[in-house]
Amino acid sequence: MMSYLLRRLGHAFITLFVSVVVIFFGVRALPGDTAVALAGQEGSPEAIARVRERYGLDDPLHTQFLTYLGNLLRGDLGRSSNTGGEVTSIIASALPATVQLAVLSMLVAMLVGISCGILAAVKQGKPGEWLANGVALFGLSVPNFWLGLLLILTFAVIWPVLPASGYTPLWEDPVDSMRRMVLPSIVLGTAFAAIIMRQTRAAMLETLTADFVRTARAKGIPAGAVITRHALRNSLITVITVVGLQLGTLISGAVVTEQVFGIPGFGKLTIDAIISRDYAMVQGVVLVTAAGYVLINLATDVVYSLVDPRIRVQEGN
Amino acid sequence: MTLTTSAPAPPSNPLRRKPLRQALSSPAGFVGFVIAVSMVLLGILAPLIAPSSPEATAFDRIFLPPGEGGLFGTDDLGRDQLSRVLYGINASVTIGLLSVLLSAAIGVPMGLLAGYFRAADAVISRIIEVMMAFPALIVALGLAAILGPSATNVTIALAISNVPGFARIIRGEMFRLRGQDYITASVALGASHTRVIGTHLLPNAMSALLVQVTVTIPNAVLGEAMLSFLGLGIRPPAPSLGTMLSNAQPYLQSAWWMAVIPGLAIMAITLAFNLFGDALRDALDPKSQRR
Repeated sequence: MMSYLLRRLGHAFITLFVSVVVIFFGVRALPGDTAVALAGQEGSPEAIARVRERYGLDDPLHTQFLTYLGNLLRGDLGRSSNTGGEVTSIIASALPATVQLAVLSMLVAMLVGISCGILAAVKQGKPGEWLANGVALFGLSVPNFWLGLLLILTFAVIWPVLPASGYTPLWEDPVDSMRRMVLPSIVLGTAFAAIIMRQTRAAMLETLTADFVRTARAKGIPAGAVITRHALRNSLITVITVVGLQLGTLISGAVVTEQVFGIPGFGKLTIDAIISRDYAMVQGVVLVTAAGYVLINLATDVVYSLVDPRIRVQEGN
Repeated sequence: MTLTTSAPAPPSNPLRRKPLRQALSSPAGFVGFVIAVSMVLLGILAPLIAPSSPEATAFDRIFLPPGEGGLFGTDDLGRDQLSRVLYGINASVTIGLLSVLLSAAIGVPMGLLAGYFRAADAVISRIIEVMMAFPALIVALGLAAILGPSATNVTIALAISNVPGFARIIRGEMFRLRGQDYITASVALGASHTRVIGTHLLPNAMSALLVQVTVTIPNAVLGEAMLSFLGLGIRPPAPSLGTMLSNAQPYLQSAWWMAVIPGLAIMAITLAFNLFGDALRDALDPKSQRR
């Protein structure tokens, strides 16, 4: 067990380190002067000189990398060339909106996905299965930004019951904040609902034929209780892993969703940074994304191996 | 070399035979296949069948609804939406297919090496893991930022982001096949690595590869639309279904057709490929264990 955990930790560390190297050299591979890139195209000569000194851009590459690592370990990701603010604190202030959106859309996705998944597994060959499969197929195929536009068209233009865009922090006005999150969470949650549905269905089909489920049925436990308490509980492990592994997709989805609904979160920050060529900020958001992915991946693996010992054994290959 | 022919024949599982034909015999798979092929044809034929140039503006014909302004109406610059949608399908299909071929060209050798040579696996699996730590969109965004937005860069970005999927599928197939008797026999009879891979492993991994290609295409099409929507893909005024949608957003109140029709076109492509891909997967795996 210990050696498995250490190996996973080692892998995560290597992945993270390589990501840092890729980002470091990625920014330095930009056409033109790195100092100009990091200070912004309109940076004054003084600003460029400051960047040059700060990152030691006249030093040999390996010294630069050590300086970069040192700054990184102190949580210093540099300054935005657009606003001059610290990248770390700008990212930190954009995160709450995205986290709220991510959590809510995951809830939507799990609610729709798990119930459709159960429906499809239990009602095999009946209209229920067709319906659930249809929902999943729709979720996988619909471009989520288009779904966003359609929802705005329906619920904000034709039948104006919900706000079309904007964001209110949860702590300022919880009701308004949640109202503004309804449509974005549905948009971001749809694709996940489809993935979760398929996973739940596959896992349920497997557990429903297991011996312990047959035993539970034979004991006379009502069908509903067999499904929820016995089969579902044993299927959820797989489902939770899949949810964990979808973080990358979630971040990509958040970028577009925030753009459609004008939510000032991490995704919009990413887009704005790229469009305005704010490379210090790009470097920061990409690093935070990669680190987040690696950490969640590690956490999922560890939790999974704690719950299901078979994983540790299989890792041998 | 003649000795290898006496190795046990690969297992002939009736369910694994002719998956393509079996997928086409299911109603959903057939419908998916027909729509997918039609969309590809529409895209290819766009220059021939489009009623007008996709970039021709007509300021006396702006915001005409479908019917009055041609089959799909006109946009804010009076451009014919039908022509723009057709050319947009062309762009989506071209980028979708090209990027997936490119991903396969890079991902398949990676998966082969990783799955066949244990020594290579350690390195390649780490590379795959690093690639996966950068979500598809972030890779694409980064490339767009560095190289500038263009159709070529979108294709490259989408290709890179789909490489890990191909590498992992092929690696898994190699693991599955490597342990089988006919491979062991083949190796014991002195077959070279290239022969084992070329005549035994690769042909047997083709079905899995085919499924992966089919299910990756709709993702690539969605990716292109998304990047163009964000202004990081195909540059206006060149027609793309994604840019048509971002162009439509300000006019949601007055011109619904500008937002609804291009989206339907994207969905027709992705839905068709997903339907066919699902049928193909079901044909290959009766238990149909999806991701």
